Amino acid sequence: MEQRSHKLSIAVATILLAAGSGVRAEEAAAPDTSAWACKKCTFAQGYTADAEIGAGWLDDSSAKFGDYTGLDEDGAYVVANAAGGVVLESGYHLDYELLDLGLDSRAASIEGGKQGAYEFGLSYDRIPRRLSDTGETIFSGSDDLSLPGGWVRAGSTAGMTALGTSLRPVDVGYDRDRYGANGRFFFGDQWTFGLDYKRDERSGTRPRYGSFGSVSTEMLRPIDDSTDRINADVRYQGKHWFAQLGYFASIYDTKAAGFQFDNPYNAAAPGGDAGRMSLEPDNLYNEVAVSFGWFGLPWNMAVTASAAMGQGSQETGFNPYTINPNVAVDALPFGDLDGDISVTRADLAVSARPLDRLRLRGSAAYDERDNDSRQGTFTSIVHTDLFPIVDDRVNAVYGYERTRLNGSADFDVYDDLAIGVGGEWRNTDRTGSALEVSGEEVLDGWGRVQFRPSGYLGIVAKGGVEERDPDGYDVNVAAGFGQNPLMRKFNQAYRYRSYGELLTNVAVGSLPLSLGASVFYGDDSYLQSDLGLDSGLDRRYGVDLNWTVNEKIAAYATLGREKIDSRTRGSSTFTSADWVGHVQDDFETYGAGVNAQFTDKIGVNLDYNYGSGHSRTRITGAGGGNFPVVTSELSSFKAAMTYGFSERTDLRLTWWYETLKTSDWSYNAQPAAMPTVLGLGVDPYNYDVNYVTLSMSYRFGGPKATEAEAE
Amino acid sequence: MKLPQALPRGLLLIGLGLGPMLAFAGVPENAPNAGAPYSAKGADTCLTCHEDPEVVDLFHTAHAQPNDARTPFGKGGLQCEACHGPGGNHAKRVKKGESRPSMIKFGRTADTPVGVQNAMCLGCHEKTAVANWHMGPHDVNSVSCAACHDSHKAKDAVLARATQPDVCYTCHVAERSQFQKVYAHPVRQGKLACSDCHAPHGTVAQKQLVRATVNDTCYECHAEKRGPLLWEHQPVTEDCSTCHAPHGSSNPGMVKLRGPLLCQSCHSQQGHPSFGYGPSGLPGNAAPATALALGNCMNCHSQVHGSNHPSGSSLTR
Repeated sequence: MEQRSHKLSIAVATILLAAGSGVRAEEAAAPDTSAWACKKCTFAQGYTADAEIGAGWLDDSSAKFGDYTGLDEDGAYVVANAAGGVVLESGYHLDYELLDLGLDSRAASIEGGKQGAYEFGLSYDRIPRRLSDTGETIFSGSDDLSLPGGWVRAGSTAGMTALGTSLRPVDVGYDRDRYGANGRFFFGDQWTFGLDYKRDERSGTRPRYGSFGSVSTEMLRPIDDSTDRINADVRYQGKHWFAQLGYFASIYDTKAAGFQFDNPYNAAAPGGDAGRMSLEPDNLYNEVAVSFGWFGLPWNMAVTASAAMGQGSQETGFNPYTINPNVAVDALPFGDLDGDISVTRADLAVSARPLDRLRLRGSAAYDERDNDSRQGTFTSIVHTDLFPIVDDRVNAVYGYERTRLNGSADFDVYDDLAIGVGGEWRNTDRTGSALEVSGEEVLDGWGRVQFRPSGYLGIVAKGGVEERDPDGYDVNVAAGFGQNPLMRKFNQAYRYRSYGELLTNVAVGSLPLSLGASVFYGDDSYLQSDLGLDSGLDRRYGVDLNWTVNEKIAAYATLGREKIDSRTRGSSTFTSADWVGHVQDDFETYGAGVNAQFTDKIGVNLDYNYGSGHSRTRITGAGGGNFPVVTSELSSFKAAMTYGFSERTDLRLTWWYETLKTSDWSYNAQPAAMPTVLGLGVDPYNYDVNYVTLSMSYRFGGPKATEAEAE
Repeated sequence: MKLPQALPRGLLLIGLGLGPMLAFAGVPENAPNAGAPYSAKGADTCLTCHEDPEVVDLFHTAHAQPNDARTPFGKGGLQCEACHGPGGNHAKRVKKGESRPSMIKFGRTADTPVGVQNAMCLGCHEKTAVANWHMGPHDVNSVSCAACHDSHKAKDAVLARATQPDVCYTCHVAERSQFQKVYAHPVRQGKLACSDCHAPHGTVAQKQLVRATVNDTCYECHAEKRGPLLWEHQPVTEDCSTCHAPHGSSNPGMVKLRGPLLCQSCHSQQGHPSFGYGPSGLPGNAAPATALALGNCMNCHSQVHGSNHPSGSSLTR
């Protein structure tokens, strides 16, 4: 037996050596590069810097336009950008970039290091969220929202007689400031140590509803938090393999884990004049991971594997059951959740080309979320600071084990034609408590044909079917939640999915012109759901055309369309389906642009994009009808002209015109439009803005423009 | 004959180690210049003819760092021929009527097979950032590295956050449309790039996400949603994309379906969750429904991502 094992080892070794040396025989000997002086290599050296300074003018205010751009208030803005760097012969280098310094979307980054030894970077990025500027609120304060003096409570918004005089305009939104620092150190050719730190700080507000019984109020919840993330890894890289050990930490810290708010309605129970809401608590997550890779194995095999273990915790102290002093409550079963999440992951991926024309791929992945948080019986729940509910509730914990196996084979029938088949098996076992469906199995199978006669034409067609088969539906658990026994939650229901996709790339070299086009079709049927989501149909197509007219002019045009239909069944009578909700979402876009350098001094860039959406909702059955169509129409035009004032100086004029018109029945400009919900009265998004900038840029260092062109 | 104990195992180890090493070096067999000799002077030979600005811009990129031995232009590097293959024949004088022997060329329309192009890149990069290249859809669909990367450009468009999406959109044309929807992540505004969520070089994760799961990818920016919370909303713990369409939506909050229908796809409790809310429940009518306009179900159940309040079992606190 042992002898047989030895012989097997020798045979395997011989095959491996032969396989390797067989390929090697085809190759040229490694050259002697000692005389390759690279005298003509114009390596980057010295410094370069571009600085742009100017002014911009925005003709109208709009939170939506300013969302992410920082251009939310009309008036003047400073245009300030800079970029540059320095490289020394010794290999030290430093690059920096400063973007939109005059806007709330400003960003800055510095990267430097020594070639082949280490790299480092520092970055800052502000992401302005401007959610609305048309709302009004009656509240003052941040984490204790108080009613104004003289407020008149009522049973509905119609009776709030002091509303008109109490509303004050509010801008809703927050800033996200993102700081980053990273370093990567190289020790020889094999060892690399990397460290990446990011910190996000957010401050501001966003809307949040708070209810008292059956009436509700839209308020501004505070945001005042930070997230620190650390990624560290050490990696060893052999000639054909690597191993890496990594550590990841995420620390979320908030100063606004809750807020209190007055009840603007008549209190439906004594003491129900105010409520308290919990917000996202602090959390901490740590993860250690190892990964490996082997490459260039026989049959061109590549193998990668990784494993990770993580631990998450959350220990923020609870609020009391209620702040209503008239409600007697029991003691809490514990003062905090002692939240404890364990994560375990592992994966293995193998790809091989055993034959020149055959490519095999396979992977396995395992992912577990184990929730070991405390569970207890909560005996004095007061949903909205009014009345205690009669029953006790035990907090459920949710976890899962997910396994995924994936395999595919691609065969080149001819040099220009390949076919492929593949499949995936996914299994989910839900762990924890209060599970209506304890697990599911998904089987996905697909086929693919690729026709690529040259780099100028490529067509890929893919189609497949997928079946999600859940375990039995636990009627008792569902009944505990008060569910209609015919309901099947759409994320856990039986689903049959068929899909197809066609991708085409065409290039016409003589123009040259390239065209990319795609079509997608996906059809979901929830065949065993009497209630809940019944079907979903997704169709998309798009075309992207690029034309390089000549060395100085390039143009593009795009169009796209997406249609998503869905159908949901419900039962008002808590029996079988007696109403159906139909939603049709239709969205289409067009775009075109040109980038032209008309003369040595004048360059022009034009871009236009248009997007139009229509969402139609229809309810059939009792009380049904067609909802007003939700529409959106975006037109965005950008023009930029650059004039080369001198060899180092450019003058730049830009114009950005954008208009967005929306209508949406969800929004109503009147805070008291609904008797039971006092809103902020936010308008649907509508804006029509022009942003014009004039700026001058100067290039320091490096060759002059004319020199560069001459070279 | 009895073999010494250590010999077969030793041979196996040598085979495992040396065989792959031998098989790995050099250019692929089906490269146009496989087996050709290298040039006499390396880049100095190439630059005699190839002196265009778009070529020599390479010397401002990460590939041309003379002090970094890992790069083609580091000490002992094969310079231009590290990627384009041996150019000894290509650089020779060509007789009249003969065509110049070809080199490995890169790009969407290059006549070099995609597999050969990518093998040259993977020769160095496979052990680093692109270890799972062969598992990704870009490899499956025979996308060349150079279809996205322009390694000769000092500013490779796909590496910059603001310009990267336009590179991706040339194939992923539907996504260009999706990010123009009213509610979308800030890709159009240049504050988020495709690679902030997706790993284009391949990964074992679904949808080529940068982290192992959908939720872990979302937590990169939305860490406040990580929890755990006292009262968890079960689908939230499993997959954010159960409800959200991350590439954009016509619905507030980037949800796939507007409430209350989204919620009613799972919730059917007797009473208000099970009603069919028609347009007569909109504001302006006789009896507006609390669960229809504004935040719909979230007018009351506003803690839809879960609650850490002892009285938050119905996600109202």
